Amino acid sequence: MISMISKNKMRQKKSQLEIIGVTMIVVIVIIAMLIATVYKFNHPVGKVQKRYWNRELATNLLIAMTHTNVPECNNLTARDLLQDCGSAIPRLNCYDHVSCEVVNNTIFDIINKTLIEQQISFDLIISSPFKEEAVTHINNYDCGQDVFQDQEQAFELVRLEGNYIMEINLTLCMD
Amino acid sequence: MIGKKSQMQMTESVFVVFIILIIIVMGFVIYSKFQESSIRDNERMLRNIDIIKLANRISSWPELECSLSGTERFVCLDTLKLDILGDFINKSSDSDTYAFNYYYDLLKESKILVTEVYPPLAHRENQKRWILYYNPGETPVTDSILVPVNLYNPLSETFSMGMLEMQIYD
Repeated sequence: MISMISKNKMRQKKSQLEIIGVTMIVVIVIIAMLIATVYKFNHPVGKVQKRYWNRELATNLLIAMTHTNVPECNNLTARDLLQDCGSAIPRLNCYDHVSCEVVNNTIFDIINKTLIEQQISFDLIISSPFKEEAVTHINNYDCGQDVFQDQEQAFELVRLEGNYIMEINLTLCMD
Repeated sequence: MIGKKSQMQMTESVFVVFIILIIIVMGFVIYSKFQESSIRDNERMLRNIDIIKLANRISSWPELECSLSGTERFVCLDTLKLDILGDFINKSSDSDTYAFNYYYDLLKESKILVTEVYPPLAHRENQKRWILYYNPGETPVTDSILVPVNLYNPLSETFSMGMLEMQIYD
């Protein structure tokens, strides 16, 4: 009789443990589903749009900027000034200012009223094969420092003498 | 005694099943909430992408594009055409003519503003601005989309730098 009771108790305990086990599995599955859902639906939303917008913004900005006329230098375009500035021996003189000085001021003015005013994180590098250091290097919010950051890049090429090429690289970083 | 025990066990089992059901229902509710918000976000994102595309296309409208010796310039607006088209659309919006309906089909409830940013003027408020289209709705549904453009002055034959801003309303 005693052994029957203890056997019954054992069985009850076993079934209780099984139910607890099943409950735990269900809870774990639900939590996993929730985490997967949150990750799936929250992670990429807005990123596609931001990437697309950043790419368009960077490309358009470089095209528009390089074609802008600079009144401080006889209405030459920023591209003409960059071409002179990046060459081995700059020749242009704009009312006692060299082309590099004028074009750097122009680029800073434009960037200040577009990207900096909109609080966009960016890194702009203009480099010439004739110069050891970059002709222009402006960045905002440490963009370009972290290589693992989500970035969109646009570039323009300016032809220099002797088939050398000057590169204008604009990187926009995602927040 | 055995009957009471089995009743207790039954109650326990029912209770466990009930809790599991509650957890599953809660899971579904939270899941559907997330899905609802993500669908809304996706809808907004697709709308914003459409706006970006439209804002980029505006610079190639024949009414606004820069034509230099017959060649078309990318991301460039003619300032004289901006003056004329802005006036034309705003005047036709008062009389609800065919012209306004034509642009309404393209732009719906939105605002398109073009601002010159370079060369800088001493007083920023004097910087040139063109309100190309203004047909507001109740609330803006897109972020403000900014497109850098060249502004061509055919009289002086010079290019300045501007920003085209576009916003869509509900």
